[in-house]
Amino acid sequence: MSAPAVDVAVPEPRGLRAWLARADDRLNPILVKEIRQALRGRYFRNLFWLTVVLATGIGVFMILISSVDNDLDRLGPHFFSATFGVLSFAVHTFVPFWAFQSMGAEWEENTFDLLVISDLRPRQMIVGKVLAAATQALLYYCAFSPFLVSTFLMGGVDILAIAVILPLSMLVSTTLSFLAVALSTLGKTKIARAGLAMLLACALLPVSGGGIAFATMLVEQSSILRDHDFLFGLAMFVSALPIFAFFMYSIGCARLAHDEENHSTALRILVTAINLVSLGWGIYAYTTFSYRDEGWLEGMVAFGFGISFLAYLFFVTEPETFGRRVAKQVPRSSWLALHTLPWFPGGGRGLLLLLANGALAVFVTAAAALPLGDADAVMFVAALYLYGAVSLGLLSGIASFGVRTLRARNAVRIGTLVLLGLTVFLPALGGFLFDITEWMKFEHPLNPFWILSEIASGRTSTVSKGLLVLGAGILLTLAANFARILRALDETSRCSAERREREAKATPTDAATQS
Amino acid sequence: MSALEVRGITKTFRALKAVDEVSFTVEPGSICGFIGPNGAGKTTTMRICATLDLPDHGDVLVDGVSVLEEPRLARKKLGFMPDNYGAYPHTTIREYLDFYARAYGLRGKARKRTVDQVTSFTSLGELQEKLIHTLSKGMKQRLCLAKTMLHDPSVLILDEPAAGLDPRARVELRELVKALGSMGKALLISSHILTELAEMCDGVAVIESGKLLATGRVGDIQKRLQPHATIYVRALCERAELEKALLEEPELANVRSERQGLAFDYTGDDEALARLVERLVARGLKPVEFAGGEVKLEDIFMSLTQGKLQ
Repeated sequence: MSAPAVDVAVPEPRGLRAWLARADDRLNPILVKEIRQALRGRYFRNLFWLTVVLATGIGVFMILISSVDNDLDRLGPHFFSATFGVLSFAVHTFVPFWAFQSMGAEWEENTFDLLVISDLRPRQMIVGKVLAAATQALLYYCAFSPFLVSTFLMGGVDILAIAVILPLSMLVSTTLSFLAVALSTLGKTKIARAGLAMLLACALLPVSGGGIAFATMLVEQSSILRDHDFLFGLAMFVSALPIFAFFMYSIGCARLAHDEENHSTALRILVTAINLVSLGWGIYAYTTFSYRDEGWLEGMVAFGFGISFLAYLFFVTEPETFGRRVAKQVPRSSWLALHTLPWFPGGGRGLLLLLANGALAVFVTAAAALPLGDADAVMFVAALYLYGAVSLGLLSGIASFGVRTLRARNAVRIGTLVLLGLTVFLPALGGFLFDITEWMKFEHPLNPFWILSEIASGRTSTVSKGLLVLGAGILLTLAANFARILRALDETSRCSAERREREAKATPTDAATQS
Repeated sequence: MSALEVRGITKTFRALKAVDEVSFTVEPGSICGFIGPNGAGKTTTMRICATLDLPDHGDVLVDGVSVLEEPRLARKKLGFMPDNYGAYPHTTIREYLDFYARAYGLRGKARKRTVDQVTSFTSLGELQEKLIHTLSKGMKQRLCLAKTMLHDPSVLILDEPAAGLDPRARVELRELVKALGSMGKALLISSHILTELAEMCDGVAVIESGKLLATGRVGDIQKRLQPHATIYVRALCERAELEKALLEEPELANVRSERQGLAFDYTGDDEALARLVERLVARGLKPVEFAGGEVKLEDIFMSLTQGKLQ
């Protein structure tokens, strides 16, 4: 630049100041920007002071009511519930909603393009927005801590309960911010954003209410914190939150990434992780507690599959061929390329991922359940994944022969869900028309949910027709997907070979040494 | 190697071919005007160059780096100023530039120095603490230009940078653009204000209905469109006498009356033109006005484009 620099001799910072300067340099730029904006904006400032004033008002009111009713012994729990109620709405509703608005503002105010062409990566954008939301939540916690801790001094509130509730609430708030930011990346038009905002509000308000109920229950029955089953459930919930947050993070990153980037691999790894974690918790409960008869293992596997279902739907309907950038990421080793193939983008590879995760689930379940003579659990898991393969793979496999555009792929996605609904509901409707009682009750061979529940209950003899239908569906699915799976295999091995060739050209001496 | 090389890019929106096999280059240190009617495909082309959109076919190389295969690397080499951009209203100029400097990975003193440099270059130094929502349109344009220069890109793509600016702001922007060109940066600028472009651009690319109609230096395009120059001459003699002398000259045609003198089409070079003046003087015709016709960007634009709407 031709303009002379305004260079003023500034002494080098030392000690703590030097450390702070270095830390400042490493801060996420989006975090810095968002905090600066939030502190100047009206949304955060007004809501912050409103909630603090509201909490103070409620506190004073509670003290007055308790002293009038001569019920000061119960003041602590009541005061805690009321104050946490205000805090819960602030950190579980206002803060995530702010994160949603903040991400959306990048499109509404035409600043997103400038962010994209800067050196910021999608992950920095998502994490920066969530960190800014978490910082705001932290400010709320700092403001409310004196109120909450004072309830311990009033008596009737276990400090352990407060120590569990506050970090858990912070974790939930951060997870909700990830959800809000991910949702915000899904729609850029005003109508879509309004719909998403309503969807988010529908998710946030019950969580805020549920948070208050949970906190009240924990404060009033703090002995539950020593209950093994409760702790097991709590541990599962806590382990599910980061996975869900990472899931949302991956969706957000994929949405913000360049069209030529790999949008899929991180999500695919995450889906496998969800499968593994749900299997792990299921087997832990199955082998450790008396949960064997309650179908915990099957339930956990079904839960893991259920929350991954939409991700699988996205995978099996992806464009079949690699983008120019992804093609270069295929491992040079053909062995590694073929074994990591299900985690690369592409519809055919998506179906292979589903089958690979299914095989893993069946294998682990068999290892845990067969020694205990529980073959039904293995059958359930196998049937679950096969139903998944049919419901997700059939239409997308047929569509893979002709569908090329995003619009058509979205139609296939919606069509797959509609088809699943129709297979369950149409026979039930037929039951009403032809007076077949079982079908009216959704007990028909096309209903995978009924058949799976029958298998889980050990009543496998009643579902033979259903299993026949499943077998036919598998054959059809294989036929519809055979060609694209072959193409996926071929493309993967070709890209791997091309990479070897490219690298050999780039470093001829290395190639000579290898040969 | 060209600083910016657009290689046969095509972009279709449903049935509409917004950009159709467009190819051109911009050399380092040159300023290329990108002109065309509304909806011609200028912004789409620029967005593809800036890695914001993907072409259906073709590629763009920024300093030899493909925007499709290495978009992150290409972004380090280019600065893009969109026509319709926003800025964070509740931040100051300094905070805004500091944010983008952080985004470009500048740290510590280097960040502070760079922000100082770009604010000084764009004359925003004294306004650093002003909130962005209080700035005028011209100041916001300068701010965006300052932001575009933070990472010292070798290629700058400016989409309608002069739109909505008052005359003073336009002149200032023109000077900034010229200064950037003299620093060796390649600039691709779109604008509807052709007089502005003509004053600062070394070359132009003309696009209409997604197709590139012409590209190159303004004079070269003019020559291609019209192989002769128009010369005007006035002498202190009878017009008929002057006309007779001119008609005897080779490389000269279509002598006609214009104002107080004569105009004619001329196909020779500048050397031959100098000799023609010498001969007129030698014949005692006393030429007092002798002017080559000015090549106007508007003329090129009007002769190339048909005002087709897409």
